[in-house]
Amino acid sequence: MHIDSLNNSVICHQCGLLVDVPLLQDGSSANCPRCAKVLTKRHRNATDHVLYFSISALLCLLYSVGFGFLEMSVQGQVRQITLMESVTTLFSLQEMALGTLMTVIIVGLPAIYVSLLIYLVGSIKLKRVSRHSIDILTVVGYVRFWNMCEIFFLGILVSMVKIAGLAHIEIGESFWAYAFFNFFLFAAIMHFDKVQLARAIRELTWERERPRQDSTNEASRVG
Amino acid sequence: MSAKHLLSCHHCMLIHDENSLHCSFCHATLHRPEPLNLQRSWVFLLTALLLYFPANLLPIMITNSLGTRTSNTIAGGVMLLWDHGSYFIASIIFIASLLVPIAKFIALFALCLSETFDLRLDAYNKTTIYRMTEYVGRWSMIDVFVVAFLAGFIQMGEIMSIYPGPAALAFAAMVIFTMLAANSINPKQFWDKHDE
Ligand SMILES: [Zn+2]
Ligand SMILES: [Zn+2]
Repeated sequence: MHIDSLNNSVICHQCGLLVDVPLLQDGSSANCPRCAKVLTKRHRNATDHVLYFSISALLCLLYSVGFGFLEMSVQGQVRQITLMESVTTLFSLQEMALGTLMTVIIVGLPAIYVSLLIYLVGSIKLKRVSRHSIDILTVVGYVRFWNMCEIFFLGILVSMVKIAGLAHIEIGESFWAYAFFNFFLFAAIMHFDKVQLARAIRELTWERERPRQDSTNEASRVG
Repeated sequence: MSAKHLLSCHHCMLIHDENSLHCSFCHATLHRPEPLNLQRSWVFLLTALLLYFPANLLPIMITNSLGTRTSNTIAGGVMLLWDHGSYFIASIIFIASLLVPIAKFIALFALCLSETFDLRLDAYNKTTIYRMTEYVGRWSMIDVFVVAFLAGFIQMGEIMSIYPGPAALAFAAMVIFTMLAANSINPKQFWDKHDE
């Protein structure tokens, strides 16, 4: 059985110390006294912030897939690509493994990540959480570990500098959309805190189940 | 109460007594603190080390420009950038692709060796090293992304075309295996002996 008196405690997942974490004030955080790891941080309107930043990120990501990303001209020849064409070109070069990897990194993981964040935080905001919301929280953690779209974006900037001397480069709408997507995703992650969300899911679920338990108790007493 | 007699659910973080089998909130199986799965860390680490050689010795990028074909290894690409005067970009690629992987190998070897032979290094230092390898290691992927993006973008036939070399995949696999190795180390283990 879980120990009710420890519902507001956390076992530091870095060093294993049991730390009492009371309900935090907005903007404050709790650190592990032994290994200094930030255990949890409470942001002002965290749920709203994560939700709105994730929705903005998803819209930017969708926009960035369909339009011109970059255009280069060399000796009168012009080539324009969309973000997806940078991947499909790899497939047409028979680079199947690299093409698959880039599809996963550029749009696959980011799209899954942002959609799960919207679903999770949205269901908390609408108070429609259940025990399965915890599974989503776990998957969000895995996807976050492998998500590397910010490194890819830095890679694009490096690529542009690398070829700047060889060709004329024109930046398209999609490029800006992908830049904003990265910014919004970063902002959403900065407001995301697993401990606070897990606690919110647990408390909302218990709250919803409590009256039902009381009424069944009463019914059995009457019966 | 000591945390040694408690179990925290990996999923919802609810704290249970040590005799519980399943989380009373999310019903997930509660994992007892198992001895460090060093075997797995070693397998990932040695696989990454094997991949390190093709990743650095084979060409990562092949450029076709007006009939001339040049292939570059990672180190060759950095030197080329340096010669062209792109010192800043050359430094980024040098740090991310050459320094970070070596530093990460040294760090992971030190952590695995110290656990395998039970060396009593300071838990706080080990945790700091672990956190740095976990955070910095992924940035090594940048050169793979540069090559993959350039190959997808620069396809203008004979004028200028760029193709990925065999090192690109080897390098990506190497980074992924070092990430798996770091992920299979649980820093809590460093602290178990700390209390004694
Ligand atoms: Zn700690
Ligand atoms: Zn649980």
